[in-house]
Parts: sequence; structure tokens; C-alpha cells
Amino acid sequence: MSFTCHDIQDRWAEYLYRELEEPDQARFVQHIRRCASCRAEEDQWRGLLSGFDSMAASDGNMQPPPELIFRLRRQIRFYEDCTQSTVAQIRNWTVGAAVACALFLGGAHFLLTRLQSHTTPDAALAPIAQSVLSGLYGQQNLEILSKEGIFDATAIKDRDIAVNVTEEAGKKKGDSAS
Amino acid sequence: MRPENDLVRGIRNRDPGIFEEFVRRYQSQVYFTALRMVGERDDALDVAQEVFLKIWRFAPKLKGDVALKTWVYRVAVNTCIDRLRERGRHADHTARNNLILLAVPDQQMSPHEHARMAEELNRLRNALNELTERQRSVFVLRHFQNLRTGEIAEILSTPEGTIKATLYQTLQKLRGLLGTPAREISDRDESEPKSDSEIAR
Repeated sequence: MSFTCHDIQDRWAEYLYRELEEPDQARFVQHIRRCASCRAEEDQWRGLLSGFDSMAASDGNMQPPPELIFRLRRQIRFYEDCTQSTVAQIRNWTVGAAVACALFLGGAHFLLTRLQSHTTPDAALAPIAQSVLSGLYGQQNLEILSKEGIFDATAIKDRDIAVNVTEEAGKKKGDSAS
Repeated sequence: MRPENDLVRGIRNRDPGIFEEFVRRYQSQVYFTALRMVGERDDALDVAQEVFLKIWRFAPKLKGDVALKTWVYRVAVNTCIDRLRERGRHADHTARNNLILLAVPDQQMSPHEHARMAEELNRLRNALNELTERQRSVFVLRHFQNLRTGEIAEILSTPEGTIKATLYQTLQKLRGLLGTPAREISDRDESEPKSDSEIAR
């Protein structure tokens, strides 16, 4: 049984490009042989495709321009050079950053261990407290206070103690003056 | 000629000699696909160069079992589509599309014939420019590269039935654009098949 016009209407592309499987190809051909309007239609389709064939033929010897290879070689060389210099730059930056980090961490570790082994944070504040007191009362007065047993500079452990002692000393000084 | 497996291995290892052999083998397909897709020789050359450069860049990631031809066409079509979109953003380009000269003028052709043929080619090319990206890809791969719809389906990662339908729609559209619209058949128009004896007469 051959195809009808309706059967082949969506299958022209497959027929023209020889992609129809048997027995559909044979049935298609059989219908075209019998149907004048479909034969005219086939002529129209073939005319369209031959126009595009002539377009392809106008490309001459059908060879791509030889400069494609030369341009490509140059581009690849450029790409490789860029990649290598970028890799080298990244490597240098990584090494530099690693060294800087190592130095920073080593330094921080060194300072911390040294602080912990040689002094306590409270004792570290004692010189500060002493300098504050000497600023307020003068070094000589401090020595007097120390002699009178009111203030022992060596006994200062931290800033709070120093401030308390300072306040106490201030009160005593006020009492003796009155 | 080197087998495809060796070619893939060489490309993956970025062997310059093997890569050049690969380029020589596929340059024609890539360049003429690009030429039909983008329409201009300079653009086609740029696109072909870009396609092979992309392949060189991604070469180390290439799988051993890849179908080289499918992969090359896929990269080529995608690069062409990118170029067309880029061109769409630069409207001044359309002015150049109206003029095409024959690449290799036939010496035996009279100036009049030459002009007529150039005009005809312009008409065809303008019709191609009217197609959508998908229609143009399918038509170029089928008509100019002579690939089967199954191969095109693989390249465009689309079902084969869709490719067949797209191809038919594209041909219909081209006929409409070129002034010979395809025949519309309704149920009433169904012509009666002639008998064998009628055909013989």
C-alpha cells in the first residue's frame, strides 16, 4: 500500500535527505510516481536544495584558508607562554605567603612562650603601677610612704592593688595634714 | 592516518604534532560549518581558530572514550552561536550582511552572469540569516556537512525526532522566505493516486 499526500507531507525532509527506512522509502517513491501535485512539490523542494548546493560550490576549492594553521600555532604559543608565566607568578606568591605566615606564627609563638616562662602578667604590670604612683606623688614621697610601712612598692602585684594603695595613701596624707 | 584513540590520547597530552594533525583533519568541517553559520569569511576564520584553541585548553580534561567528531562539531556549533549572539548585540554588523561577493569568480562567466549569481547567493544567505540559531545549526549540519539526523541529535544533545521536525520546519521556512511556499495539504485536498496504467499513458 502506497502513501497518500497526507502521509508524506511531514516526511519530505527525510525523503530528500535519503533518511527514510524501507519500506517507507519505496512507498514514498510509489506515491510520487502516481501523484502529479506531489511530483511538482518534489521539484520545488529539489530546486530549493540545489540553490544551497550552488552556495556551497561557490566556496571554490573547498579548503579553509591556510592562515588558520599559522594563526592557531601563534595563539597556542601565546597561550602556553601566558599560562607558564601565570603559574610561575602563582608559585612565587604562594611561597612568599607561606614564608610570611611561618615567620608570623613563629614570632608569635616565641613571644608567648617567653612571656609565660619569665614573668607573669600581674608582675608585668607592677612597673606601670609604680610609674603611675610616682607621677602622682613623686618618687621621694613614695620612698617616705614606703619607709612608714604604708606602701611597699615591691609588693604591688597589679594595677588594682596599686590604685587601692594610692587611695589609701591619699587618705592618710589628708588625715596627717588635718 | 592515525587512529582516533591515538589522536585523543595525543590531544589530551597536548602533543603539538598530534594536535596539528587533528587540526588538519577537522579544519575543513569546522571552518565551513562556521562559514555557513556566521556567514562571513573573516568571522568564520576567527571562529575556527577559537574552536581549536578551546579544544587545546580543555584537552587535558578530554575523556578517553569521547567521539571526537561529535565533540568537535558541538564546540564549533556552540562557538558559532556565541558569535551570532555577540553580533546581535552590535547592530552595525547587519549592514555588511547585505553584500556578498563570489569567493572564486568563474573566469568563463560574463559580468552579467556573475552579478546574477552573486545576487542569488545573497538571497540565499539572507534567508539563512532569518533562521533561528537552532534551525540554522540543524540545516547547516544536515545540508552542508551532510551529517545524518542521528549524528546531529547527538551533537545538539536533542532527541532525533525533534531534529527531524526542526529540519522540516526549516525547509518550509526557507521555501517561504525564497518565495515558493510549501504546499499545505488539508484532508479535502487529498489527491487520488493514479493507477499504474494511467501513469504509463
